[in-house]
Amino acid sequence: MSPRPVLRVVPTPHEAAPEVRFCGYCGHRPAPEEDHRICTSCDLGMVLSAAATVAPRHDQPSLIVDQALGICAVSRAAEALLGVDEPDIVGRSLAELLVPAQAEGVSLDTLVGGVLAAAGAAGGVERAVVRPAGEWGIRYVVRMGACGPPRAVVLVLDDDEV
Amino acid sequence: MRTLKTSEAAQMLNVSPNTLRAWERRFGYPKPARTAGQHRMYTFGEVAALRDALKEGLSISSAVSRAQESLQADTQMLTGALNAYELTRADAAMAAALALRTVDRAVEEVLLPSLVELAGQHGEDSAPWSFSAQWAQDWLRRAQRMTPPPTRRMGILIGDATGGRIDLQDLHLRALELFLARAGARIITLPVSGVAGLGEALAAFRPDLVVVAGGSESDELVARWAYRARVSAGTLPVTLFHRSTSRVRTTGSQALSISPSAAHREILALLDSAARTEAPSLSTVDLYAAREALQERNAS
Repeated sequence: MSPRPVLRVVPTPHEAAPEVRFCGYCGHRPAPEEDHRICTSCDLGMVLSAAATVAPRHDQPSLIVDQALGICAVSRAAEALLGVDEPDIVGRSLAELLVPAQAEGVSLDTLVGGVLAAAGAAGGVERAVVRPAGEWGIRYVVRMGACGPPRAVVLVLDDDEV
Repeated sequence: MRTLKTSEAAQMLNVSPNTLRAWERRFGYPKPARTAGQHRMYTFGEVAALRDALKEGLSISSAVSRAQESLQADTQMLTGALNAYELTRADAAMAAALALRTVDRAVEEVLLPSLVELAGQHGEDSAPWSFSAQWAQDWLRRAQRMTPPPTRRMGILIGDATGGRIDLQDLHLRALELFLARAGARIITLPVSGVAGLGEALAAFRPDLVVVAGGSESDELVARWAYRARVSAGTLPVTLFHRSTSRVRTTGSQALSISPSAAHREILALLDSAARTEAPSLSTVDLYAAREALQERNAS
C-alpha cells in the first residue's frame, strides 16, 4: 500500500544575494572593472568576494578564517578593536581571539558550528554573539558568511547590533 | 643566484613598486639586499615563493607566512643532514639555500640557525655538534677561499678571543670574516693569546680597525694584546664582537651587533666614517687600563 501523499513545509531557499568584492584589510570595495588581487587602496590586503549581505562595509571590523578555524586575515578596524596585529595573529585559532558570549548560553561548539555552516552555505548568513577571549562585559554580534577565493569564512563584528 | 630589481619583482607579483616597499615595512618580506648604489635587489626565490603563496592566500600576512615556511625548509634539510652525519646532503642543502639567497643570507638564515638548533638539541659537548661545527667551519672557509681578492684599502685586524674551540662564537666569527672578505676588506685574524711577533705582522698589514671577537679569553689577556697592537699600529678604533660589553664604558670600544651581517655593516660604516674624518682616538683611561694590566702581569 503506497503512502498517502502529504504536503511538507520546506525552508525558503536563500535568495542569491549579489556578490561584491572587498579588501580583507581596509574593506575598500574596488570598482567592478578592477581585477587586482591586491587592494590598490591600502596595498596591504587581498581582494575577496562575498555576498553583499555578508561583506564588511568600509572600515567595519572583520576577520577571515579558514575551515579549520585558523585566522587568515584581520582587518585594520579589527586590529584596532581587538588590540592585535595581523602578522602576529595569522595562523592562530579563532578561539584565541573570540569566544561565544557566556551570557547568551552558547558554547564554543555553537560558534564552530556557525562558522562551518557559513562556510558551507552559499549566500547564507549565520549569526552568533561573541566576546573577545579573556574579556567580559563586551559583546558583539558577529555575522558570518562564505567568502573567497580560496573558500573561507568572513566574520564581521556588528557592535551596533547588540 | 638570480636577483631582481624592484620593478622586475613588482611585475612578477603584479603589484606596484610602492606595494613592495609597503610590504617590506609591514611584514619585513620580501627582504631585499642592497646594491652598492643602495638600490633594492630581491632574490628570485623569495619573490617566486611569495607569488605562489599569494595565489592560495587569503591575506598578505598568511601568504608571507607560507612563503617563509617554504624557505625555512632549507634549514630543516640542513639540520636533518647534519643529524644523519651526511656531508654530501649537508653541502646539497647549502647549495639549495644558495639558489634562493645571497651567500651572506644563506649563512645568516640557514647555516647559523641550523647550528644553533643543533647546539640546542645536543649541547656543544656532543659528537653531533662537533661533527656539524667542523663541517660548518670547513664550509665557511671554503666560501671565504672563493671570495675575490680585496678591493678596498681598508684593513681589519681581528683579535680572536674565542679560545680556539669550535663553538657558536667561533662560527659567528668565521661568518663575520667571510662577510668582510666578500665586502672586499683585507682581514687578518690573530689569536689574542699570542703577542710574539705581533708588531712585525701589523707593520706589514697596517690595519685601520680592530675587532676583538669572542668572550672566552680573559680581559687581562685581551688588554695586553690590545696594548701591544696599539703600540705597533698606533691608535685605532676598537670594536667588540660577541664579547661582554661590561668594559665598553672604560675602554671606549664599540660593541657590535650579535648578527654577523649586521656587525659587518657596522664595521664598514665605521670605516667609511673614519675615512671621511680622522679616526677617533681611544680614551686615555683605556691606555692606562691596558698598561696596568700589563704591569700586573709582569709583576706576578
